[in-house]
Amino acid sequence: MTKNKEYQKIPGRGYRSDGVGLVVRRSARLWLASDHLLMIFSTMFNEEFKRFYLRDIQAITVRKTNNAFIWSGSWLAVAILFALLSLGVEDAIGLWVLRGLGGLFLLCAVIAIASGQSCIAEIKTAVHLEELSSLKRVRHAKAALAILQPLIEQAQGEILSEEPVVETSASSPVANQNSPAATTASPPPFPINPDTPS
Amino acid sequence: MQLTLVTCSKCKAVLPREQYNAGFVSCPTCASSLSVMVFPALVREAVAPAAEQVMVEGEASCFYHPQKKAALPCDSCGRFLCALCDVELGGQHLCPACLDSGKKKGKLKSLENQRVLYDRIALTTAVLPMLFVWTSIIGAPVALFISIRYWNSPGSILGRSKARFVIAIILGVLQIAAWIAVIIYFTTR
Repeated sequence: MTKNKEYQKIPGRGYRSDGVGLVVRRSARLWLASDHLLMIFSTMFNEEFKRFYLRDIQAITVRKTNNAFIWSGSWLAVAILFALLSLGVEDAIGLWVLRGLGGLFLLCAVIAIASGQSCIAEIKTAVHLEELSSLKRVRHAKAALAILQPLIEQAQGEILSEEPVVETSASSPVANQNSPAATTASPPPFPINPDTPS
Repeated sequence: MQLTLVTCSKCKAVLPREQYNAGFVSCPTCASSLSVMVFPALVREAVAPAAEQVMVEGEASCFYHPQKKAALPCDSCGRFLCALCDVELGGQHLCPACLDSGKKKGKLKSLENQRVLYDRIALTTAVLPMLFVWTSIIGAPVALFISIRYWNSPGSILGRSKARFVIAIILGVLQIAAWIAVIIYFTTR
């Protein structure tokens, strides 16, 4: 296998279901090139790409969700159910089957818990807002942002803070309802030298 | 300087600027815990294209717009281009014709948005029919055909090796040889 030098792997792996739902699931991974991020959605025989040039990335948002908690709870409930069922079985083979299934679901629950807090990450450019399907866990999102933040800032340069700020919202109709356009003269437009989210 | 607003990914409400680059904070509307990391591009002004310069006597003109002054040559074909015809892509300056032909021929990697992984198709076609034995009569030649036909086609964008093609060819050849041996054995017995 040749080692790929052009792209560097960004932590995190996820899935995106389209069209037929659970039947067609595309695995999603994020790769970093010198000037862009490459999101690869791959099925077994096909790869689709989306490029986000570092100079165009306006914001990355990470929102914590309860998905991991719900999944781990569900796996745990099923594991307990099998454990309870096994109490009423005397047949040795049946007992081992139920214990095996219970153990399998318990393992799933442990993996879901160990993977940590789940999240939804989105990337915003001037023309689109896209979910980063590979960043499904907060720890992956933090690790990815720690890699990306300096590179994006390096690609985009310093923020000029002397000029007045005109707030606009091209991407969200709700934004217009909630916050009408306003002109302020308050440099800088947002906190500079940010830290990685903690 | 123009500041585009960032919205909460759950409730789509506009997030106050104080919450940008401040670690995990609560959305003021839905109370979701979120982190908003913004970058200078959020406040970057759109750069207006430079005004077209009209050609004067003795100056080089654009190949596509003879009345306009040439700004630079196409890096692929060398034709002179005005600012309107110049398309910058991955550090190269290309004319629309080269851009179009490059996309059709798949030479411009940065314009590709999908690839078929023929190496995986070949390998699957070689391996999967083996499990059902009889289906390998068809599967093996097909795997061999795909491997040879698409040997030079671009594989994964991540730059994998030809190992899958090689394995598919070896398996295909072995299966065909096995079937030939079986046929010879039963016809000569």
